[in-house]
Amino acid sequence: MLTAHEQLVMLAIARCGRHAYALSIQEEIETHGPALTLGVLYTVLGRLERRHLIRHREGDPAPERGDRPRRYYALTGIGAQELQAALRILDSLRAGAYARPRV
Amino acid sequence: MRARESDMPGMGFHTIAAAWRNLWLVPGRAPRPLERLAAICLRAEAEDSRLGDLSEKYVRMHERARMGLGTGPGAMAASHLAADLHYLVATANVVLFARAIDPCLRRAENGTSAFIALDLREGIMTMLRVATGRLVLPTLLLLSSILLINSAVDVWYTWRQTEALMARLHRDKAETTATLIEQFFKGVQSQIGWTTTAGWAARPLEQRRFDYLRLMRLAPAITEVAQLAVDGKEALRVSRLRMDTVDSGADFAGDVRFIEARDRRAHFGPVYFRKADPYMSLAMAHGGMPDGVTLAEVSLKPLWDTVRAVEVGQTGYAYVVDSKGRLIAHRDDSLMSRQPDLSSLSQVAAALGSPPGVGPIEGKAVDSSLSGPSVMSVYAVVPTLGWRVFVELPLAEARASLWSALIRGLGLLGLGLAAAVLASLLASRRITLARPVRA
Repeated sequence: MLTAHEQLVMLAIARCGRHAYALSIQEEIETHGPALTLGVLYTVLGRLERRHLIRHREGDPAPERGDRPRRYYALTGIGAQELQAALRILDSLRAGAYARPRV
Repeated sequence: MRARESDMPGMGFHTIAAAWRNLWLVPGRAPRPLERLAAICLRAEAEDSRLGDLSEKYVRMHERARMGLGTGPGAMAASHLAADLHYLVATANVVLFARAIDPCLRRAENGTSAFIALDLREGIMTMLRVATGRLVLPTLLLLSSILLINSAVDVWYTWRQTEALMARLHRDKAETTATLIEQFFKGVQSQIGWTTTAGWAARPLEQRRFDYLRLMRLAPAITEVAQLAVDGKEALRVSRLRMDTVDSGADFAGDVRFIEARDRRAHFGPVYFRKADPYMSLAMAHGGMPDGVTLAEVSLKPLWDTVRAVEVGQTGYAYVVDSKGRLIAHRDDSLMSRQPDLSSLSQVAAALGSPPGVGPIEGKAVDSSLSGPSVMSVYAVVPTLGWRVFVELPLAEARASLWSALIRGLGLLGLGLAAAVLASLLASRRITLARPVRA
């Protein structure tokens, strides 16, 4: 069962593709809705990773990061399935909520 | 892009000159002191990606600030400051979640306890929101309503008490004026009294005329005085307005003044006007065996000064009406020249309706007055004559202080209420903003 924030973060990771790291995920969510603070984002990423719904890889060091590498995230197979299941529930609920009653 | 000197390995912050030069440089990464502080707070290794994210965020923030402010010395300093503050706030946020919230979540993430923890947290947050929305606000509104009702009742009682106090003060003034009028006539009666002693009528003509002249000197309000014999014939008349007459033969035997004076020892005639001046006849029977009457015409103009001397607030006034409601004394001479009949005024009609001798009633506002606007009016009775002395104050002035007190009170109450509602809304918003914890 995914919480709303977990769904948001996983969807943002999916949208960012290979370049999904903390700041790009944060920007992706911010462009579509309310901003998540870095603290919340790290907490959610940590929880998703502990549940094996996402995984990460280290990128190349960058000077603006103090020569530290970026940590890129990607959905795991289980994570993608969980996300799809959660979205299906949401879609069906949404369709039922806005469907016009039949006469 | 050049790196700042303090950021270069081995250089550090040596001199003020270096700091001054750094001010002009575009930062290539977050300042090392800030990074060290963040690393300590996060207990992070030097290579921690979170420090990298924070550093990258610092550079972006600085760039955004430069785009907005420009690259002047002041703008660069402001950009540094904005980026530093942003870095510190972001670090504080990450530290809060990393050191306080995430460990709790990890401990709660064993089996169903995770859901319980999530539900519990959601429940608490919902409860707080509901408590704020459904409990705190209604409680504040209830308290405010109680305060409002209490204030309204207080204001009402204060209003009534102040009006009663004001009416009492005005009634005292009316009674004082009525007493002065009473004393005025008692003084005139007393002066006339020594021309009505037993045997006075038997004195020689010159003696009686001299006594009358002396009487008019001692009582300037008396303009004319006449001696009426036992049969009602006028024996002597001394006047300020016309020639003195002796044995004029005028017959007062059927005159009510003569008859009543003989019957009741004294008679106060109705008020009449000569031109615009009010006068009154005062007849007194001679003492001892009935042997005649002294008839004096008394000018009531001295009473005008008595009435003018009454001070009632800024725009208040006093006036006197006779037993039929005709105006006798008022501060306005033009009004006096018209000799108006005020019996149609509601307060005069009410005062004349009550029997003479009854004490003054409570002051009350009426819709009409001599000068137009509504007034608060009280009256007192002059017992001997049945006249009424009115003291009136326009309602606008009488209630001005009450209105200002009421407005002040309501204003303070409104401010308090607004502050309470604002505080509760802010509290509610804070709780709502804290919702990201649900992740």
